[in-house]
Amino acid sequence: MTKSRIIAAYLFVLTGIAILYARYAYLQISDHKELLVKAVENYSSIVATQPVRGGIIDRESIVLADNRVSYAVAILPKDAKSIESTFSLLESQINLTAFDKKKYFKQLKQSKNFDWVIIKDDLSNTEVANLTSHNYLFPNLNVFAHTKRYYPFTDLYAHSIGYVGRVSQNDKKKLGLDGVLKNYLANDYIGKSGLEQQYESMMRGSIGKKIIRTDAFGNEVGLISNTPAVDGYTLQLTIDNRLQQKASQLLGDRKGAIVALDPQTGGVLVFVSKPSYDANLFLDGISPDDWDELQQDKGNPLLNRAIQGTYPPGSTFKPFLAAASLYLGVRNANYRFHDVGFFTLPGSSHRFRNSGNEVLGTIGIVDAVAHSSDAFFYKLGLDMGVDRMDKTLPFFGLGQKTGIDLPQENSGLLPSRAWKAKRFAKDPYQRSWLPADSVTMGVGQGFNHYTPLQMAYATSILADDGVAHRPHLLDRVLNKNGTVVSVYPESSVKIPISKADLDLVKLGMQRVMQIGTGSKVGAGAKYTIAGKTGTAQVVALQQNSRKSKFSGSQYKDHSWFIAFAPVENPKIAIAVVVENGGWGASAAGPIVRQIFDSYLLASESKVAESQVQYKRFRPVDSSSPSVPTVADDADDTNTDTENSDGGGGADDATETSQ
Amino acid sequence: MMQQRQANKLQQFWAYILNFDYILILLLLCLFVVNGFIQYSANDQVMTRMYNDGVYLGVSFVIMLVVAGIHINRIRSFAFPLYILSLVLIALVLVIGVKVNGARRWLNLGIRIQPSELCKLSVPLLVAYALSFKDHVLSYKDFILGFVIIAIPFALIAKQPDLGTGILVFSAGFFVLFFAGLPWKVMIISLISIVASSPLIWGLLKDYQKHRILTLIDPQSDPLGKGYHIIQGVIAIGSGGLHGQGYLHGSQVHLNFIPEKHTDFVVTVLAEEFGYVGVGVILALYLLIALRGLRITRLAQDRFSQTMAGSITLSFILYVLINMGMVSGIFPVVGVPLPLISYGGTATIVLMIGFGILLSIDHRRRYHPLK
Repeated sequence: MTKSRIIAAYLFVLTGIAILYARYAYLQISDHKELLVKAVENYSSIVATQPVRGGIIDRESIVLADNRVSYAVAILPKDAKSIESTFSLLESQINLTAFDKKKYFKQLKQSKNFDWVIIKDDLSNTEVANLTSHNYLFPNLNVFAHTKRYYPFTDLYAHSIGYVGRVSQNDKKKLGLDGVLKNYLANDYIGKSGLEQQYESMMRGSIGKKIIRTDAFGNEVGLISNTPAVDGYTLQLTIDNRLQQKASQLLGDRKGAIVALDPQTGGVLVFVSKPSYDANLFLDGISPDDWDELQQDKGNPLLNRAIQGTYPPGSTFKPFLAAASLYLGVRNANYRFHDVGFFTLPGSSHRFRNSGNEVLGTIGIVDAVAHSSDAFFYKLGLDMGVDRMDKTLPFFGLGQKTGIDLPQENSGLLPSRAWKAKRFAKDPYQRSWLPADSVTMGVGQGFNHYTPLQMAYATSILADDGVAHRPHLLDRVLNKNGTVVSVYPESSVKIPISKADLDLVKLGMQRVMQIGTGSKVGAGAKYTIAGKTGTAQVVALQQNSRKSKFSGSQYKDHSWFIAFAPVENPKIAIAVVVENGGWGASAAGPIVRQIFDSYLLASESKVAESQVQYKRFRPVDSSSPSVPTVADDADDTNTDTENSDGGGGADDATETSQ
Repeated sequence: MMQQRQANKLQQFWAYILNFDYILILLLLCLFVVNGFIQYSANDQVMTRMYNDGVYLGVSFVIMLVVAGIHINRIRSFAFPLYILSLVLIALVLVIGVKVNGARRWLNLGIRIQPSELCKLSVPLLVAYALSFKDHVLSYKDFILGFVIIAIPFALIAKQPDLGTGILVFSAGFFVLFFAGLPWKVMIISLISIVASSPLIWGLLKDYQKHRILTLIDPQSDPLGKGYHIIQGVIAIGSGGLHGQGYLHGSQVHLNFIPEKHTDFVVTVLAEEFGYVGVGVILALYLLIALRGLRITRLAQDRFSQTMAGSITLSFILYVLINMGMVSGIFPVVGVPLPLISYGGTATIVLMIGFGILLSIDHRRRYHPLK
């Protein structure tokens, strides 16, 4: 045998073994980390657990936004290849509509491979029973319970609390930018409007993550780690549910808005916009029929009139203009004006008339407010001029966003020369600010438009002697145990107008209710009210005429009323607008009076009785029994809502509930 | 006198006993120990599942000792009958074999045996036998005869179809020719012509064989099919790192991500639980055994012994290369067990007979050195 054969054999063996040494070193040393990650991925499965969304409760702990248990039937995308046959099989057991199928396909598109895609949610008890007894027919389907948002007052808070819906592609982009996308599953719910949107991060909680060890066949063989879901916080609002119901009922089927604030805190007591809609409709995507109905409703129920609807303020503008003129010294307490029923610009024959052609004679600023003298304020508008109005009316928040904790607030419009020049840039005759523009602005007509919230806010600033409290719906944030996590950071600013000046205006507004335009509204009140009527023209009237060629109800004037009470120690400030309601005193005024009576006079027991049927927030506390506690049924005027043991009125309320 | 004779006999006996290559035997026993540990883990610590493995190891060890004790010339004389027996069994497989996964490879004779395994031994044996008669330099005619001896069982095995075993049988025979002095230029020309005709061979391959080669080139192309084995094997090896996940703690192995973990993919158990250290040790054992085999080859005293010892040694190391190369993703998936570590079977017995022959060859040199 030649030596070369033996050498070749040695070489073969040595190279072969060397190659294996190298290959295994490559895999086990240089690729180790990467391959170890793959091994870990192989055996770890992540199971997300959903947090319970925080509820929303009113100031008395009445639940306004709740969670309920819903049963759903779902399928994994990998098993959904012959979905049509599954549908037809399912149809024998449950009621499956075309809309359900459409929703299913929409969700399927957004789902990852291991997300359960819901075929039908909100199964009835019978349907759940049918499915579970026939589960051998549907080996790939999963019937499970989950919690869902539920709005017990349906349309009452649609514009303040808003609603939740499924996470959309746009939501995902936004969540991605905020770095919280991980906290949501593919078909999760997210706040879409109102407080649900504003305080999403507080109510959402955080999803739990359970990492389990699985074998190659997907069987669970152990637990690797478990981060439990953290439930979201409950929001307690400043809203008074009883008053909200009352206000909504008073407005009835009329279009309009009611906003009531606590002038000493800025807390929103009432927030009504009508027409409204059932917030529950949007949860899983609104059905086409419901959507068409909402879209085609001429009342435009989706418009949030309280913060997005802007109306000329009419005469409700006058108290604020009066205060501004006193501040600037354009008017003073001793100023006297001779009201002849109309006002004419120097060198013009055009008569700006008082409403009803009333002639008030010689009046000061207090009576001008009390009797709503148009002539007085036409002249005041002219004397102030646009620039000075533009500088001082923002003291009352007019033309500015109030900063309420709701998305998409409209800033209204306080016009200026610059605004007009821009607005009518293409029209050389309209571009410049005319004296007549100032005149009409003096009585709250013309270009200026404000939201009902802005008017309520301005009223509350007057009421609290020039202290502006930023309006807010959130009072405080509670955890499951009812412990306060955080409190709304109230913010207040003192406006530069003196108390003496404001007192003159308030006196005028008080006289409105005693002897002036609102005297019928104010008659017999057991507390002092300061208010102002307003009638906002919807269409410009013809020259020198009080008769409109537009006579349909849609051309009727908007009825305004702003007020606060009691004057000495204001507890509530309100703005009401009733679209096409006509005279302020006749449509909006009675609403204000009844809300005030209800808020300031109703007996405690009566208040408790009216709310006893509603579910209340119950803090989770292992030491307390599950029966309703005294604290839970605390009466309406007791501001200390939870855990306030005792109180005779509260005991009565408990008895009523049994 | 009597005592003298008895003492001589005893001396002779000890000389006989002591002239075996105990280093080789010891190295093989080391592999047996490794086998025990690895199989215990691979069988999920169920002792009863290891029963067959233990029986195969024990029986094969005894057979090795028996073969080692047979004089090499006696073994040589078995070459022709054994070859004929192999051909008969392979032919029987084609007719009455058990069909698994589209291939007939097994014969059910009370126990299921794989006759092609026998060829790994009988083919080189007959080739070495055929070339052992002439003392002079071999002619082309001798090599052609050798190729014919190889070609017949190769063709039958390839027809089963079992190309993997076919190639191993072919290699075993080829190694004999190689050590017998098959001219380099013949080997080079053959290699070139095989490469040149590879497209033609590609056409002759079965779909699953093509598939294996394709998935080797890109395992990700079929991650849940054939590529799955390779991907999971590579993950298991890599996740072991330098020191491994710890004995009995390999996740890939124990959570069933590795198919055939106690047979063809057994090295993943070692690599995942003992890391590169474990792989290094076992490779070192294989290397030492191969060096021992080559030493026996180098010192062998006749052509039959030399060619046979060389073939057995290189075949052994070829199995190691193919198996560990396949599991780590550098060779196609071919059904080759890892010598003496994979769960015991026909292959273990054939291997140990081979080592018995090696020991016999070495024993003859030491005990009856040619003057």
